[in-house]
Amino acid sequence: MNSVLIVNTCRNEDVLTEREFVWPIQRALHVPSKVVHLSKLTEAMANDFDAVIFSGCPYGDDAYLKKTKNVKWVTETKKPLLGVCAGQHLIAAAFGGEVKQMPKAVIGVEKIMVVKGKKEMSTILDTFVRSPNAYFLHHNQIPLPARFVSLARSRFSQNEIIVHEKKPIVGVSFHPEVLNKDFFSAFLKWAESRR
Amino acid sequence: MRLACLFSGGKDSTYALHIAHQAGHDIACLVSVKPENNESFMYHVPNIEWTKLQAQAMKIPLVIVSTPGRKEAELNDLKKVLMELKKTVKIEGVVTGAVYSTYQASRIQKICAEAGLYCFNPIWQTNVKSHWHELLLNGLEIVLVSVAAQGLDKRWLGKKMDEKALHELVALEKKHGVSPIGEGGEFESFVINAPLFQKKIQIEKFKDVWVGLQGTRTITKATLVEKGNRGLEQE
Repeated sequence: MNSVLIVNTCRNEDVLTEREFVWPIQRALHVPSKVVHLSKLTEAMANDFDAVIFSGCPYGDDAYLKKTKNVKWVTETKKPLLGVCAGQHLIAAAFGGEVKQMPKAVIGVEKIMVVKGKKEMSTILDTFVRSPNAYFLHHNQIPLPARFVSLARSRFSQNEIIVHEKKPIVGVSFHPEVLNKDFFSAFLKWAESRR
Repeated sequence: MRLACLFSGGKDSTYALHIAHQAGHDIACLVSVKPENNESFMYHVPNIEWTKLQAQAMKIPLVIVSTPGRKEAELNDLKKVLMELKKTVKIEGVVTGAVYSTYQASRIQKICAEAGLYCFNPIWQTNVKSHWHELLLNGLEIVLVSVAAQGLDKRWLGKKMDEKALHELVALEKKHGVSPIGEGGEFESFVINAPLFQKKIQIEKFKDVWVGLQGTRTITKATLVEKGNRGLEQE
């Protein structure tokens, strides 16, 4: 994996939010990356990169839910995709899952419990076996979309890490750029092995 | 967007404010929390009264939240003030200088969520190695007003940070594990000048107190001086 496109899902193209939700992912990646705002994203753009990562966005910023048409192509692509929080919701929505508000917001550090016996997933799950604490910042959630399986749950949700049955597509409902920085390299390595 | 900035007078909140301003946001006011208890869980304490002079230097209104300083009560007091500001000066969000502490960041996120305000953290998870350089390159003039770590001796209290001091700080990280950005409470900083300052602060009198490894410089007299002339004498 030599280059990654990061899709900024925050309401506006604003350095204030890009610094909080996009830059930390870029720093965690260890490979060159480029940023595009969700409102400008096209499939052709994604095709110029080895993988696409959809960022999270500020708590209470649901503008991304109005831009789902820009991610329709994700159901057909062969590109490795990773969705972080709002990014997970966007991917799930494209695959037919309906994003719903949770009864209570989840903000802060929570434990992730990974499901056992998914050996082929160990590259990405090992990070969370080693250090299960993850940082959450959300009030939306998604049901498990068709053809996805859940690999981790928490006390709030069954779908904290979801993965497509066949394609290299992963969505996490939390923010690995805070406490699980190794996860991004692990994802790219795993996606590479699935090519 | 119209924003309030949580402001302690230290390097990180001043830089967060600088970024928000540069990004074109409208800074309605600064908010400083002043705990009556010196062992505050959440907030930067030394010299918090001098945020008044910093606010004056920037010509931005300052709101001081006085709180008894008991864990969750501090947050409630802050939340009330933020809700009031949402009503009166129509702020839509809050800017913080949170860097790595999920403890601090999540608590502020929660009160903002409850108050219906956005919470922005522009230096969240910043690069430890380049953070200080970024502060200096952006024209922040910073002095250390408290130190509490092995290796941060009398020479460091009151030190104005420059590239040479940064090299020494990195050496201390290797030797004693001191966080170079002070995330473990190794030091507290005070900003005497920044691009948003129309005048700079000159510290005229201060009192140093040492308890073991912990040194605190309490500013007792400071004035605003024109930028670029009299202020230089201090260096």
